[in-house]
Amino acid sequence: MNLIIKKCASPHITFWVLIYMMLLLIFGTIAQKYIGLYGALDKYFYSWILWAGYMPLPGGLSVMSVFFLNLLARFLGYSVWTREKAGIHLAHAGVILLLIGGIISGISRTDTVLPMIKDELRGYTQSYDDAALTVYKNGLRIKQFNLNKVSDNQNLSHAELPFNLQVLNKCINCKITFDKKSGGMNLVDIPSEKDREQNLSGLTFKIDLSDSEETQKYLSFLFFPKPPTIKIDGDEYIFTTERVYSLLPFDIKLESFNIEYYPGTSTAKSYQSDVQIFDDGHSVPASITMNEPLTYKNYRFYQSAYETNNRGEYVSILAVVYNKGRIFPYLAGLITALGLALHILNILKGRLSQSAVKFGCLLILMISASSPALASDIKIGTDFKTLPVLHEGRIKPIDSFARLQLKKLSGSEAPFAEAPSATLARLIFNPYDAVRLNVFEIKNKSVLSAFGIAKRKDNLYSYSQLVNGLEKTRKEFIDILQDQNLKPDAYQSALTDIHNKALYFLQLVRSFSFAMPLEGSDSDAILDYRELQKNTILLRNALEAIRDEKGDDIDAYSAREKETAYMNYQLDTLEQTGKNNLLLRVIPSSDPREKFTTPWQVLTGGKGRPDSGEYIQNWIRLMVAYQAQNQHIWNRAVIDLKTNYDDQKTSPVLKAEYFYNLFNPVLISIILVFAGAITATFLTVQKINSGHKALFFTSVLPSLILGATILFRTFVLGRPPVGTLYESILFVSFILCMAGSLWAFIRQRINILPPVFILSGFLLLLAKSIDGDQDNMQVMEAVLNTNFWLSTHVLIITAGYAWCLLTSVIAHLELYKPNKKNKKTTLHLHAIVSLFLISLGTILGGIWADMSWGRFWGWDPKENGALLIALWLIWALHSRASKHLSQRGFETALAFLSVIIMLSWFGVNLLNVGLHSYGFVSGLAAALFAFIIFEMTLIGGLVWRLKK
Amino acid sequence: MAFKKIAKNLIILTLLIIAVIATGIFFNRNAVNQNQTSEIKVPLEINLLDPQPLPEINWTTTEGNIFSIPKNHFTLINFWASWCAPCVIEFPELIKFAKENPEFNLLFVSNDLHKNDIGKFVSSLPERSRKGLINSENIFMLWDNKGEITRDIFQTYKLPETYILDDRQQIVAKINGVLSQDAYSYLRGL
Repeated sequence: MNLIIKKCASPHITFWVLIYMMLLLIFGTIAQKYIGLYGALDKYFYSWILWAGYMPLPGGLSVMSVFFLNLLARFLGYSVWTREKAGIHLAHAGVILLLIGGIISGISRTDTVLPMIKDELRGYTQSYDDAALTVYKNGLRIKQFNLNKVSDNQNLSHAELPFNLQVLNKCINCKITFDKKSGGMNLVDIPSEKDREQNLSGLTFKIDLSDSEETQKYLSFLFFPKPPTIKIDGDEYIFTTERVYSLLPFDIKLESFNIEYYPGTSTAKSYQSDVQIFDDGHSVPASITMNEPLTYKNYRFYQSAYETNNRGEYVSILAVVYNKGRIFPYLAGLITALGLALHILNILKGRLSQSAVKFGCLLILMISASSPALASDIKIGTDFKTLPVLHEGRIKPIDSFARLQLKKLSGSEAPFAEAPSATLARLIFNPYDAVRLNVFEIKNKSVLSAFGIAKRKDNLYSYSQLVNGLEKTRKEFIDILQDQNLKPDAYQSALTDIHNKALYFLQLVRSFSFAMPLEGSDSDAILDYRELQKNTILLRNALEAIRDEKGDDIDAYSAREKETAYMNYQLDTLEQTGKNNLLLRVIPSSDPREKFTTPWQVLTGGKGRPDSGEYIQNWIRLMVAYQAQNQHIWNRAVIDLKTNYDDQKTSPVLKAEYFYNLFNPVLISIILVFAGAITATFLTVQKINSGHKALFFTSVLPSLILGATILFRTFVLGRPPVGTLYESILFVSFILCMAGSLWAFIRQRINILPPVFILSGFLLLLAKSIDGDQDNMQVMEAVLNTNFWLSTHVLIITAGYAWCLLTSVIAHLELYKPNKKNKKTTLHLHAIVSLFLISLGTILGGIWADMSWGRFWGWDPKENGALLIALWLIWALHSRASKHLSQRGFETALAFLSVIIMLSWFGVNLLNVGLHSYGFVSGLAAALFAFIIFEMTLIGGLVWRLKK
Repeated sequence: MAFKKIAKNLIILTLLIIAVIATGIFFNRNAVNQNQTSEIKVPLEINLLDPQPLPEINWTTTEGNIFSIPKNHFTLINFWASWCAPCVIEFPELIKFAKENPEFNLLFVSNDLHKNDIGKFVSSLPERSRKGLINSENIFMLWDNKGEITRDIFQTYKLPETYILDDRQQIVAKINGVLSQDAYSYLRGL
């Protein structure tokens, strides 16, 4: 017994199994790109043997079993429960429980799906991918033969079937071929699809009737609209191929399905199914939403997706999970995290008290950035810049809107020496001037020559310059749009881009065209669309009468009649353009799904209400004041509008965002971080280690500004600022800077600051570079839109990334200049803290996934990435403890943590598969590759130098 | 390696497993169902507005008399015109609704340019609707020939449109286009 335990608990096993698990994880993740998630799961993770060509290797299940036994033996045979070691043992016990939970789930769990339309009542769920030959007798389902369990030439029978059914050939994924001779169809077995739900399963079979000699070949496959039907003794039998059904011990009915969109967009904010459960004579009403599943009798129903069927009805798709081991990961995760936390506290005990934390001073930075004086126009004023506008599902100040529009058109937030809002005012209030403004950026020379325009140095052109070219290339543009298979080249992309920009531009300049004087108005009676619209019927009738009398020949019309015809024409044209004007949403809407709408939508879309009239009037006053260059009226109109909007209670947030735009704190942070790196390098070289005031500003300022930035964004967006890749980079930089500075203070080691600052500087630059012409303050997809999980899982996991980077930096420094004092515990502590954050974050992510989709772990690349980091840390820590790695080897392993982080943070995005779609970026591969090469050279160099 | 130590660790692990399973059973018991009662469903075409008082309006009846809305009743203000096909179709339906629900005022605000057109339209209505219109005390025919009330005050540019006022004469909702049966049942429930 003792011997078995001793053999099983060998640290050699731990060392090699962890390495093998990491390799398996990496290959299995990459394989998802090529053979799909299910293929990779079967081949790598849920297999006993992994076939690498003809060579058998241990599969995921084998390795996990060995790992489990190793851990169990170690725990049972070697755990001595002292106060110092309790944390470690508890963490190990947690991992054992996690694996036991995995075993129980593996045995008991079933995953099925329940697609339902409104008012549908169902007592069964269906498999995601397994299909079965299903036999109906007189409309009642008699029997399902699972296609996975039948083989070619097998005879199938059932008590209620008066015949034998012989399978001729079955295929899990079929290709339908047509026999030219007989004109019939055949099924040919082809390899399974990457996504098994896409498989077209089916079979051919024949039926032996005992009293007849004749047999006929039949064919059935999924979604086949005309399944074979035969009649025997007055009974009708239908043979269809359907998904495998599992019976529920109760019935469920979908009462209604509702989707809520972000105002003015087609992005779903949330969706919800109201259901009724009928069980044993009583009924239970319940709602199922994203993140809020329904639990009933060990079944959990998750709102997983929705689709529209061919009748245009919504189909609510509920994932149904039956799992007896569900509680295990929750508590096991908790126990592991608790154990690690206990262990960290144990290490820290008695160490923190030695040094006092010196933070406490708050600086308020005021940079007065005055907006450049305007050449001749009226002063726009801050109040105008902070008026609200609804754009991409979020209410933002005019200033942000203007910046985004100008960046979209011209590539720059402020293409002229004036505030972006001032340029926007020109565009929307003075179209005659706007068409001459150089706001279109064109870099592609072929487009320029196609348009017949000479190249300008700043690459900026006006609409009036482009008009002819746009007209000339319109057909080409439409062809490009319609060709689905086309992979556009540089010229085609640029052409599409400029046409889209032009459409955008026209929407902007026509925002208030309904209120501009029409041609044909007298000076004493200005006629605009609204006036014209009031007389629509009169005008229509008049034109009708003229046409009845004089026909369509305009030349025959009198001057008065021509005017009538022209007015009709203007009315039509304006109405048409107005219908598509959806950009400048500044008028409160009667439609509860969008808070604001465009003025044109009030006029042509029926979205007005009594109080929108006042807003429109005030906007028109603004326009008139702008055109007349009357500062007084402008100011009054802005104040009146402001008062109107103040009822909407959005003002402080809009002001905050305006100042955020004005100060551009991310740019300031970048500058400060690099300045900090230079100062810290200077101080390090000069060996000025502490007590220097420069040190304080150097290290605290960037953290403060970044922290304030993140707080600001939280305030403006009303959610934790970690929803996008951009935001997570900001957050990692902040934690890195803050934890680095804190550590530099406590340890009085300033030499940690230069690498920390350089690293966060580069991360911030990366954030800047991925921040294109989209708003970097975005609304969230339905699944991400829960503050609780964003603030727990994502915050902790991103903090984990940051801490790992810090650990890596410290490891680099140790390799560069070995620190005799304290050298064992410092790195060790950081590694444990990193492991704690990564594990806790991953476990919380698992709980979130379990709540939303019904599975704790799905081998999604991002999840695997986090697991890889955890495994790397576990491997390094255990190998050091078991002396497989020397202290130097441990340092080297931790130095490489930076590479592991970058791989699992950005690298998995390059695979473009999986659920964590918030971070898909292209073009990162080269930078990532360069970083890995750089790190390998650097760490290799450092180790070589030490050896020498 | 003492047997005692192994046994002790085994007990600890078993206890942990039992604790986990017990918690699982406990939560499963408690999580049998979670009920949420859904609110009254508002049909899609009814746009609920933040309640706002009705502005001062000089209503005029088709006879040219000054009119004010009777108080303490829910009110429907329907903007229509005899040249607007959907308005004409829903006209009898609205009359039927108002007759069956006397707690509602129904205001027909015509956008016709000529009074004749209104008269012609009314006389062409089916017998029952015409009688209902003439005999009921809660249906009122108003005229806005310049479109000032319709467009300038209510920002209605597309006919038909119907506003809903509560019993305190606050505007509470708006319906674009023709009222569906769902909308009528919603109104009945008010």
